[in-house]
Amino acid sequence: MAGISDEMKQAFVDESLEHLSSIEQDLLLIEEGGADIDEAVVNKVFRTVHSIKGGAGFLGLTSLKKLSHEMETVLGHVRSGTLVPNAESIHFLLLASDTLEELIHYMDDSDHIDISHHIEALQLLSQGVEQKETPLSQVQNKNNAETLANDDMPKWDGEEPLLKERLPLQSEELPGEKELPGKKELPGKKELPREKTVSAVEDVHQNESAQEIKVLSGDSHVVFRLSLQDLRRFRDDEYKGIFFIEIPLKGHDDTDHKITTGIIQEEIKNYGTILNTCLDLDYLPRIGEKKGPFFLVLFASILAAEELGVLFEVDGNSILQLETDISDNPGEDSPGNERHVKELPREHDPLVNGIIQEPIPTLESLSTDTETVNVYPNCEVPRDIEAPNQKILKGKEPFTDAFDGGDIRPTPSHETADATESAFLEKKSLVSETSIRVDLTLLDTLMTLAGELVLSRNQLLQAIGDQDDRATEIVGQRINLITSELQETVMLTRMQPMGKVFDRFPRLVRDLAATLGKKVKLTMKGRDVELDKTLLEAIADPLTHLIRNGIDHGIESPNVRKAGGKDAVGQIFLKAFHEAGKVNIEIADDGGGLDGDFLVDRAMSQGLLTKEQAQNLSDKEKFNLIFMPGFSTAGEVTDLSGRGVGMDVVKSNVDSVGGQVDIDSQPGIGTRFLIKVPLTLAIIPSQIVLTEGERFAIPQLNLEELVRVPADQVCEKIEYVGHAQVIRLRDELLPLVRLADVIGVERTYYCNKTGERKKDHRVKIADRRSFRNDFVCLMEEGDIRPLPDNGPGTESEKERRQACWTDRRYHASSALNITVVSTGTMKYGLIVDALHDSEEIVVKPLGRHLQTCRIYAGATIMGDGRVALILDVANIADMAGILPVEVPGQRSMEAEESAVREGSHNMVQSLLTFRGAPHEQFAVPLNQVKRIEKIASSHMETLGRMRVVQNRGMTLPLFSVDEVADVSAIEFGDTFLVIVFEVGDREVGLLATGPVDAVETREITDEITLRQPGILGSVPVHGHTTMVVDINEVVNHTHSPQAETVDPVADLPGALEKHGGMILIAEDSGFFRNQIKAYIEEVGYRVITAEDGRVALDLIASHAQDLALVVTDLEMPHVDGFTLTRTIKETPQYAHLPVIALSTLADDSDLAKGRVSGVDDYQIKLDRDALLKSIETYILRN
Amino acid sequence: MQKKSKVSEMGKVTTFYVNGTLCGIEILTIQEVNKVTDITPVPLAPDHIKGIINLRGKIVTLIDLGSRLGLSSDDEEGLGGRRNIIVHSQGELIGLLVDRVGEALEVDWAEMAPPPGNIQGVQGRYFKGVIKRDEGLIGVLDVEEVLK
Repeated sequence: MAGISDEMKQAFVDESLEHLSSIEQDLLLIEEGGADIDEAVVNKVFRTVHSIKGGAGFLGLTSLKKLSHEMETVLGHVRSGTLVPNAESIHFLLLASDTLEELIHYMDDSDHIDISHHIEALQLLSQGVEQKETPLSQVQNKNNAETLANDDMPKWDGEEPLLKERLPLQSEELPGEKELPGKKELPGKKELPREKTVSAVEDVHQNESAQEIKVLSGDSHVVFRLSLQDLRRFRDDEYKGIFFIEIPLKGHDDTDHKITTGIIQEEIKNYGTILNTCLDLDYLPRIGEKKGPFFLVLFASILAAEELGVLFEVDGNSILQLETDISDNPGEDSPGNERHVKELPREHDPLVNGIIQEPIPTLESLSTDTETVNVYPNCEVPRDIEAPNQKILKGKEPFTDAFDGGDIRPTPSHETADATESAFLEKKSLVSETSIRVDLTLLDTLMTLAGELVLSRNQLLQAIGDQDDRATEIVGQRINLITSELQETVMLTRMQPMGKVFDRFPRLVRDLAATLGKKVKLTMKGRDVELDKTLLEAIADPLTHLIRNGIDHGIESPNVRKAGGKDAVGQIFLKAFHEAGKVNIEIADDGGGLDGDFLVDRAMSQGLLTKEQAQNLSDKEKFNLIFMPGFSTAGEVTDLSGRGVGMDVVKSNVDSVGGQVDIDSQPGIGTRFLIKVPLTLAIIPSQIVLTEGERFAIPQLNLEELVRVPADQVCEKIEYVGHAQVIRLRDELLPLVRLADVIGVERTYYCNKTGERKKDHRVKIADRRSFRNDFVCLMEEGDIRPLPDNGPGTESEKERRQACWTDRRYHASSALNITVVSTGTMKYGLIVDALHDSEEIVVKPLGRHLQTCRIYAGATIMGDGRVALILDVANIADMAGILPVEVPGQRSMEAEESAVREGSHNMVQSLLTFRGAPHEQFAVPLNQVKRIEKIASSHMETLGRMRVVQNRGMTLPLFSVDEVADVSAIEFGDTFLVIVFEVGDREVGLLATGPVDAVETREITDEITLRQPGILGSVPVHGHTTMVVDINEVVNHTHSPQAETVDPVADLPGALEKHGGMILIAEDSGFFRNQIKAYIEEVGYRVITAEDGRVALDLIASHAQDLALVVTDLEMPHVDGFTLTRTIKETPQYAHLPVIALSTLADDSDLAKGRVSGVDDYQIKLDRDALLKSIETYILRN
Repeated sequence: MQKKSKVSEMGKVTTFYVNGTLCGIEILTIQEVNKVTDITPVPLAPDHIKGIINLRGKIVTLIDLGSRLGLSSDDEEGLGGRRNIIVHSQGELIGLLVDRVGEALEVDWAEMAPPPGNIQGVQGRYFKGVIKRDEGLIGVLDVEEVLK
């Protein structure tokens, strides 16, 4: 057999993971279907597992092969209908598939990974079928026996403390476990004895975003997480230390849990701050000590450990002081801990540690005796030996009731499941992708472009050598084109479907819902929407958090829902779609919704909001409070969603990639989050502005529009609301801020223009300055600068107007350039000195010394090699103290808008008006316009019937309305305007003359009177009949469709025909297909491939004469190998074709079935020599 | 230079002047020395940050070493001789603006003396040590400390 190369392994890993990525979903689908099996789905899963088994066998991976074999067997039963999929069997399959994925990730070590419990469980499932017994009791009994025979599973026989047993055992089993958290003794005050049920450890591991400390229990479950920041804060406060206290519930009060935990909390609150609590049910008590589950508290206090021990009536061993100093130099600890984190994904993942770790509701009824406890050796079912059996057996229900209303987690099972969940996610994120699948055609395009680039470079060198300016110019243009195409193509390679992130949610929702005892249905749309890889990764966590939140806080429990008249099953909608060049992701639930006033109360009580601010908040702003750092609704935050990233982190994560989050909620109806992210990150279109002689870039994403206020209108347009200067823009008041003020106060008054220009016209500037200062005073009330002789207060409006009109220079230079920017929650105007072009810029990060300057989002390098800073408009708003509080007037505007929206008959339309002939006014919808260019008439070229102009390195085709519609011909002087649109994928220009204006109108477009080609209709604007242009019609009418020059896709020359024979390979696994193809082509046959039987049949039909032989896999979608063979053999024209079937494990039943179908030969996948020999034999025979 | 038999660790130090004070940086931390090109000032940045520059496509923060060390350099005119010393620090490139770059000297680290509390008005903590030479005392900078 051919040697196994790394490439082959990688191909196997890639393909298997790709298949596995959908297995989870499919398994859940199967579960949903129950007895009503969707055969296509089952087959798909079956094939996935089958391919993995095949590959594993081929690569000699025993564990992988074994596990996939067992899974396959179970799936086979499901397929044949002998095993009805239920929550239980699917659960085992899910767990097994998790492990399968892990085995593939750690392929080289996979044989050391213990999979025996999976195998057992799966075997029992399939045996159960065969013996017609309930699989569970099998699992149970077998397990009990197993436990005794094989110490693999921790046992509890009522005498030995479980943990004592378990830890050492694990380390024996698993190599590389020396750094197990439990072993690293806490640098705290006391060393906990090993047999203590609690052993805790601080795990200071540094990850880039947040440092946190995990307090781990002895079996390395994460009990608490605490960010280093918090830790430091508490240390810096007067608290003496942070303590990890374990309070036995039974020791306190034997009657009722609810009272107990409540009482404890109330009690200890008096002595310090509770950072976190949880009820830990994982710790088994010793039989002698009748201690129930432990209540674990993370507690900051000014008291010393000894005093606390007395207060809480616990012995010293149950209190552990965390060493807080460690947080100062995490670097010292990190290497070891990092290793620890890396090496222990399995240990962190409780999924692997036992057969069942999660509650499966359907199991409850099956458990009939106390033995059940043993079946779940380290699961969440409380080992409350005092509780009546009933309680244990019924799982979480009674506990839910018992604990409901308590401040701690609502259900005991919660904790472990949460740990499971986070471990699950942790594992997922640990394995971040290092390779990416790229469409081959895309790569080819890249290659071609690279070739072009090299070619152009040679030409450029030559042109420069020859000092041929013209040639240089031409090559320059060429390079320009190639570069932009290259850029676009490279971007495309980074695009990934949303499905990558979405696919993990069904499982998440299923598990969470089960844990919380809620019923939730997840609906997802837009899995195919593509997004840049970086962005996708950046929003994965926020999305997960929002979904968790939605289930945890949003969706009410079934009882509450029913009482509220809702369907007991809650809904979570997840939808991704493109809109306006951004990807929108909507996460909606039909749960309880947010209570704005409650949020305000909380924010005020936490000192995040003043009373005045609170009064002015709109509903939306109230909801936005949940994004404030430090904001928490302690009453409702459970450990589930309360830990890890908070809502402020969600927002900052989304912000950091230039996205926006929007909340919409109605109490009792539901909550909707809308995340908008740009398609790609690295290169963003930006508006370049000039202030103080320096250029700054404002991302187009934040840019709403550009406004220029002519000097003579400044007086009227600038208004005051309180102390804020605002400008009235289309009846909306926009707060204004000068960029110069934000970035450097002193220079503003003296240097409103660039230094050079000031020097040039010193006198005039001085002249002007007094007027300008007049302005400054006018605009900046309460300014330190002394007012000129007669301040604006005394000067009458008329006089000032007079002054404006009489001074021409004043008029010319002091117009205000305002960029209207949006932070997502609010809009404001940023006054800059001058507006330059909009450019595509490459975002570069700033060094660490500049991280404190929050007003910059990064830097970029301009065409001239100089650096320009990119502004972060949200932080500028913060710095400038612009409150996201609506100014009066705006609110009414909004109200009005919403009123209109409700009426919805006449929507507000934003139109850009322009003229053709001076007397004819046209309009186009503003949102279609990309930009407007002013171009000298001399630059327009006429080529054939087309008018074009060179613009931004591109040839911009020009159209005019009069070419299509019956309107007067456009008249232009020295310059004309080009309104640039994007039609299809390219830019086109529409010729226009001024004046150009943006208007909003509620008038209805009359689509009858003036309707004609290119004209959509008419609408009255300011008393003029204005024709609304349909740009698509204009372009399509004028533009003959021939122009597109597409590279002719060269027909590939037919493969060399050595033997004259053509072989068809039907195989659904790309990995095997390519391998087999390579083998066969190597010896000189022509090969055609089909990914399933159906395609194979089509190919046979079309290549009937050429075909000499068929090699087929047996398991394939649509039409499998048996059917394919039968069809071939039953069709007279093809019956002569020899069929070689490939199989991974020559199973007797398969062999027999194959023979019946007419398979000529069987070959094991993938024995190259045998296969080739067989092919040779059959081809020669024919 | 001769080889010495005693335990010595040879190294090289690039020397430069900051407002008349002779300082040095171990040559291995230096990526390159550049002429002062177009500096883009960063408003609101700390005082000792001169701005940012484009170093072949990378954005490099430029730190005015004089102002960082508290040696106020008042002659802005002498910019012609000023150089950026680009150093590696925590995976990042950072420029140090100095007045004049001197020679690269071969030094024996074993001869480096611990820094005094203060070298010509500069706090000792910025230095790894001092090396005595004919030219005078060379204060060898602790780059990480300076960049903190």
